[in-house]
Amino acid sequence: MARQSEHDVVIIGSGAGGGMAAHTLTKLGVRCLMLDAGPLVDMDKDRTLVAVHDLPFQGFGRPGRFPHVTQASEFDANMWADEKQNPYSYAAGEPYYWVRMRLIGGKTLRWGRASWRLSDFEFRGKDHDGFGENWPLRLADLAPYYDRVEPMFHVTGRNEGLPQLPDGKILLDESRESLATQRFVDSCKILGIHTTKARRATGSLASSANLLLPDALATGKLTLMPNAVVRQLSVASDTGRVNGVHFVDRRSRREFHVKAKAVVVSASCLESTRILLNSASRQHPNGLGNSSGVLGHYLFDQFYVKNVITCVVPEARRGKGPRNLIGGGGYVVRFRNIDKKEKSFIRGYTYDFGSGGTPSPRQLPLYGEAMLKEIEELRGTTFSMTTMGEVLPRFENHVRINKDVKDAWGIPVLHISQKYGDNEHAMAKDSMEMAEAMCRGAGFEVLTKHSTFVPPGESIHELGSCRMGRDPNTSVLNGFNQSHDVKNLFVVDGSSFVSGGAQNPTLTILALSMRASEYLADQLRTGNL
Amino acid sequence: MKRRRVLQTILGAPAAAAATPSQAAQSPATTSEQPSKLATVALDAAAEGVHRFFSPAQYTALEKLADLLIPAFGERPSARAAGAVEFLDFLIGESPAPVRQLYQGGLDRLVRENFTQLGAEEAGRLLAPLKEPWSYAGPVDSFSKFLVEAKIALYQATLNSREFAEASSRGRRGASGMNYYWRSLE
Repeated sequence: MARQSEHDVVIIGSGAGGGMAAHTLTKLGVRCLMLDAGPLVDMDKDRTLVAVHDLPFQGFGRPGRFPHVTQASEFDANMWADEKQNPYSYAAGEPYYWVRMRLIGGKTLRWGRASWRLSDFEFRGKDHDGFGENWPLRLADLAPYYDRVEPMFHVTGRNEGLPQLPDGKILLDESRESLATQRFVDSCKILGIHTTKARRATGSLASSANLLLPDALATGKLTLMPNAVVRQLSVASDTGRVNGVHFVDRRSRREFHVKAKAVVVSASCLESTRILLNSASRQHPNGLGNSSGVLGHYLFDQFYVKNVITCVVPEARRGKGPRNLIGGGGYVVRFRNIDKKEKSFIRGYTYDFGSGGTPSPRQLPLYGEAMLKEIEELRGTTFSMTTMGEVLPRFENHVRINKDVKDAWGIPVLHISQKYGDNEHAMAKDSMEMAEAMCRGAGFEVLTKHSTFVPPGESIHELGSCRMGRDPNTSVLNGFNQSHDVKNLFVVDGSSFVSGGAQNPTLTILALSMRASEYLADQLRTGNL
Repeated sequence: MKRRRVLQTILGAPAAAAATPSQAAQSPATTSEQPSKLATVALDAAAEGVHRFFSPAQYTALEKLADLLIPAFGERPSARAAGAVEFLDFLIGESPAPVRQLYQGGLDRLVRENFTQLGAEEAGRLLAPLKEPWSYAGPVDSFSKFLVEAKIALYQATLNSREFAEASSRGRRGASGMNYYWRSLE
């Protein structure tokens, strides 16, 4: 049987970045093979409605199965990447929570769908405060791609005309605020702080698997290959260019190789960097495309202070108050280091807020009937906020290959080293104090407050480690997500970020991938690769 | 603990409409290539869990603790009536060593303090850490930490129990705790 083992482009990963690469390239007539480490899921056959008391562990999950995936429940445990099959390491006392989903569609099967644009406060961050590097592109370069991505993902929200939160091509959310939310919005206004509606992709599923891959397959130009665990990229001995991909069948562990004219890596931030580091060769002794020595470095994410504050809306106790008293939520726009500089930290943070919840018994210093009574009285009365803060990209936060540990397919794993610094700590503390000021101004009772981050990685917004830049000596990729060293190698996921702001990154990954893929198609067409 | 013997099918037939095992056995054999929708019963709906982790003294102390922390409330069952103590004996026994040690150490302290024989006031003094204000990190000393974790686990195990679901549906609160379960994708 004749097998087609050479393709124009091999795309590694089927999530946001890979899905958009396939969508863009195939529409432009490029023949693509997409490899993904996980299986294809069937929403009808692979899941079934079950009552929590009929689960084997009654909703608690198998103890110890996911020590780092706090998002996993017993209902969806089989969706997350198994930590025993996919190990990684970190220094004692410095845990990193690496949250992965190895399925066709990747983490877009479960993302929170928040869809904000980055602004020139991020793209030109160094110009504002002198820290780090600017991106090799500006908002104006990416805006035309945001304009096309937002309608594809049916993003709703409200445009505010603020430079730190660029407007989008979105469906306008004109719903009215609940009385409690309006009080909060008014309190923020008095403090000179902008709020807005949540901006997010709509639909019960807004995934690469239903919004990108079906169109790509319909062109007849995409071959989709699940269960392909990539070991490394191969390079031509004469040119040092990428010429193919070695991968392993997830189920049988049989080894395979495919040839390619170009490779797009989008296996998720840290997995992409791992593949490049594992692809060291005679021509690329420190990892593929790593002549700069920065591959693996400048790892960052966005810190989360979950439930930085939980309040009670007093009028809602015991289910009292008008029907429109409570409910709904929104977003507090970054307000630090916009018009004036803070003394204790650079950059800024945002909040998600929501209302209508019930306190956890953990938050109540009670037990017995008194606690159960209090929970009943407070049912549906809470107003809570979560801080999302910018993390500074620093060289010392990095990943490297740990040759002493291998995954279930014999592939060396990552050792991850990331710590938050003084800037993040100062920002988190400020966010707690400001949250309290906003909530007290709205007349809410503060139930609990704190400024403790979740561990690095837990926000699932890992970024950097294969960053873009103008200078090949200080970056891995150019402004089109193309390797400085290996012209037919592109990396289009969050690893390419230079900085991340506090905005959820998926929309930017989608826009970057679309832009890079159009550039790649043009380079293939003109023979420049 | 008395449990209501609830039948269910794993293939979608509602519990009330499910055939009893004897009826299913009498059904005529089908000639279809598809297997019949056979009535089944959940393990814990028709059998008692075997206690195997906590010692008898620890188990008795946990029962008393459950009675004080999560009593019956309105139409809702207490933690003990909801099978939460017996479930935690299983769950904690399956948990990593630090969790097992936390519970065993905490229960041993209660046993030493003769907890099961204490009156409300004396027991209340032992449980005083549960009235300390909340902090993100939680208590530092292991006994206080045990009390907080036991409170949360007993509360959640009660909420997630079959008995709680039945009481909720009797109270017309609607079905709770239903969600999509993802099968193994292997």
